[in-house]
Amino acid sequence: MPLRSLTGWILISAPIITFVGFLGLLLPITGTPDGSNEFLLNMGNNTEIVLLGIVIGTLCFILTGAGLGLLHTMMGDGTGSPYMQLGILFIILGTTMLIGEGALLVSSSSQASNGDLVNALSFFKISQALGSFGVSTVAIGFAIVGLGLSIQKNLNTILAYAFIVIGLVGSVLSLWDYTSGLMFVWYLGSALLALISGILILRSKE
Amino acid sequence: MLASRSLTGWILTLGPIVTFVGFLGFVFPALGGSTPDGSTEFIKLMGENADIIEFGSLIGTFGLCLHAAGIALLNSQMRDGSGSQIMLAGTIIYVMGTAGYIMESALFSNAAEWGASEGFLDGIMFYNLAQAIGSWATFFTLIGFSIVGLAILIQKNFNMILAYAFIVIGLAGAIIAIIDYSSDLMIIGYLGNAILLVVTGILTIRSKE
Repeated sequence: MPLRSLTGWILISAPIITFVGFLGLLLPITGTPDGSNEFLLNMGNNTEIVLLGIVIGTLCFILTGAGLGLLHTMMGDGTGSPYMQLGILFIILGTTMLIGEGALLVSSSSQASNGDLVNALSFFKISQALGSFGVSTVAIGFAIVGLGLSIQKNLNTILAYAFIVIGLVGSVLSLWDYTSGLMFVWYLGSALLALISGILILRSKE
Repeated sequence: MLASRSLTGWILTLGPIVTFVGFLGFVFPALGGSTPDGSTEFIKLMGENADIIEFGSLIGTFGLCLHAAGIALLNSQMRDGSGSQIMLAGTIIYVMGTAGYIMESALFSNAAEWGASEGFLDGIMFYNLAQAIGSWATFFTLIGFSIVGLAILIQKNFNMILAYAFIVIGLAGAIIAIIDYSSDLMIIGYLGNAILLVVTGILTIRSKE
């Protein structure tokens, strides 16, 4: 598969599968992730589905980062390339923390299934602390990627500005209140932007 | 917009400054110079200044991310050179360690939040986790730093004294971080790393294309 097609398909499929993992499998079972006893018990009663949902969601989140990494490769030595590289670095750093968040959520679920709700709550709290900073770092990376795209003008400029706005909004929101319903702006916005980028890359000519 | 070389130089120069502003300008004064021992009194003190500590940690950690970004951009500058493979290895280890720094800051900030809400046991737990992760993150970052020095030594793109300083400071800091992360000697690694990155940044900006 040529680089362009690979980049496009990864950017299209990864956000969709991420949503299947988190919104399709995890959220209907656990409910609002508020750290309440009910939430922990729901996780504990469905450890296998929690594990599956988090693995699928996290894996494809990593793939979204990989897709943007491939987009950086496509940009070669263009004027926006160093900024793109900078953005990718922030996305990699943040994604590492989100892997940690996923691992701790799975552990929290295991503890809850053993009836140890105190440990389950501790794991959950730590996972949220990592998740908040992780999303903020990824979102800053998204904004810098947008800056790289706006400089190099290899994708639509409006899309590049959207990357910047959604990235900055996501970064502030995740630090301000990671459990807020407003976080959906970041989750949906970043997924849509990756998806649209993928479609534009597939439709573009060599 | 800045050219690749200028961007690399400016990020290497600004990263340590931003870090010092965050940690020494906000976090350190907020703690009143008290020993970070994870005691209830310490967590309480953190709680009383939670907002300043969170803000300072955020600024400081952003600076640490800029360190890694500068090293990564320097890696791009050195591509195809004789030290490029070793530089890549050093960069990867440095970036991995930096991810640990973000985790440390996230947990440290949460320890302050728990201190503010008088959840001292949770505060102590978060603080201890932050220290455990911070120790290993610093170890790997500084090992990466010394490998970067080795790459510079091989490629000879900077002064040899600078390359040797990268190696010595990196190794010394890494060893101290693993033996005693709360030791005052950690200043060798922190300050050495910062000064060397600033010097590298200035030399990069001043160098010709």
